Amino acid sequence: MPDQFSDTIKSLIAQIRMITTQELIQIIKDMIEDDIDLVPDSSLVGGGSIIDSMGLVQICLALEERSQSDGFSFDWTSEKAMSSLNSIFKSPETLAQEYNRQLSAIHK
Amino acid sequence: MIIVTGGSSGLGKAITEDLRQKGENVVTISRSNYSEDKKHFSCDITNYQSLKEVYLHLINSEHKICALVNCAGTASMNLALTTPPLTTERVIRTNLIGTIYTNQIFAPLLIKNKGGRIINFSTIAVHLGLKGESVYVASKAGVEGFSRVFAKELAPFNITVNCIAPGPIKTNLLKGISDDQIKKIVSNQTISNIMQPSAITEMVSLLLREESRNITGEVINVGGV
Repeated sequence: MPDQFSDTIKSLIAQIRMITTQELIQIIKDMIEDDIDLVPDSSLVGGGSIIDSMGLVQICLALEERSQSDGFSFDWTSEKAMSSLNSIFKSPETLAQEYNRQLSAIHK
Repeated sequence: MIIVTGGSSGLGKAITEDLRQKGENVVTISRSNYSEDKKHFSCDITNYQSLKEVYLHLINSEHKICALVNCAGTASMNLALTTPPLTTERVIRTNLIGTIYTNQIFAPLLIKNKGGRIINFSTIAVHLGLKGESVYVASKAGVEGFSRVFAKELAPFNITVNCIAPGPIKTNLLKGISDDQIKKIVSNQTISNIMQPSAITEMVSLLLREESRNITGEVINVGGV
C-alpha cells in the first residue's frame, strides 16, 4: 500500500511538472529574440525550419536547465533525436512530448 | 575554471601545473584516482555516461567553465600491418572518440559561459606522415578534422576550437621510441629542437588569452613543419 501511494505521488509530481506545447513555444520565443510565428507543428529542423542550428542548441540548453529543477537531465543526444522521420526536434509538440516522456520515466 | 583531460600525467599534468601556477582554477579528468587532488574526476573519456556524470556535477558548480583542454590520449607505434585489432580500437577510441565525447559533452558549459576556448591535441606526425604511426596518425587526423568543423559550429557562441600538434616531447607517450628515431623526427621540424613541455604549456596559455579570440579551426604544429 505505501508503495502504491508513493507511486501515485510520483506520477502526480511528474504530471504537474510536465511541459505543455504552449510553454515550450514560449521558451523558444524567449530564446530566439526575433519575432517568429511558431505553432505546435512548426518545423524545428530541416529546410523549412525558422530556427537555425544555434537556436536549436539554445533551446536544448534551456530545456536542460528546466529539467534540472524538475529532477532530471534532459537528454537531446538520443538516436531518436537524429531520426529524420521521428526526430524529437520535428516540432515544438514532439519536443514537448519527448521532454515529458523523459520526465515521466524518471518519476516512475 | 578550466577543464584539463589527461591531467594526471604527461603533458596534461604539465599543463595543469602550469595553469595552476598562473592562478587558474583547474579541474582535471583522467582514469587515475589521483586522490590527493580534490579538483579531480576519475573518469574514462571513452565512457560517455561517466563523462555525462562529470558534466552534471560541473553544471551545478558555482564556477563557470571557460576552457577545455583535451590532453588525454594514447599512442602505439607500430607498422599498420602489425598492429593488433584491439590496439587499433584502443587508439581510435581514446584519441578520437574520447576527444569527440569530451567536446560534445563539455561545450554546453562554455556556451552557458557565453564563450570560451577548446584546445584539442593532435601530433606533428599527422603533417609529417611518419612511418610506423599510421593508426595513431589516423586517430589524430580525425581530431584535426573534427576540430575544424566544430570550430565553425561553435563560432556563433564565441567559442574557439584549435588543435596543438606537438613534436616529440619527453613523456610516457614516447616509451618505445629510440633517441635516434626521435632525432630523425625532430630533424623534419622547421625548428629542429626537441621541445620541452614548456613549449606546449606556453602555447596553451597563448590560446587561452583574450587576444587569441580570433584564432579558431587551426592546427598549430609546434616547432613548425
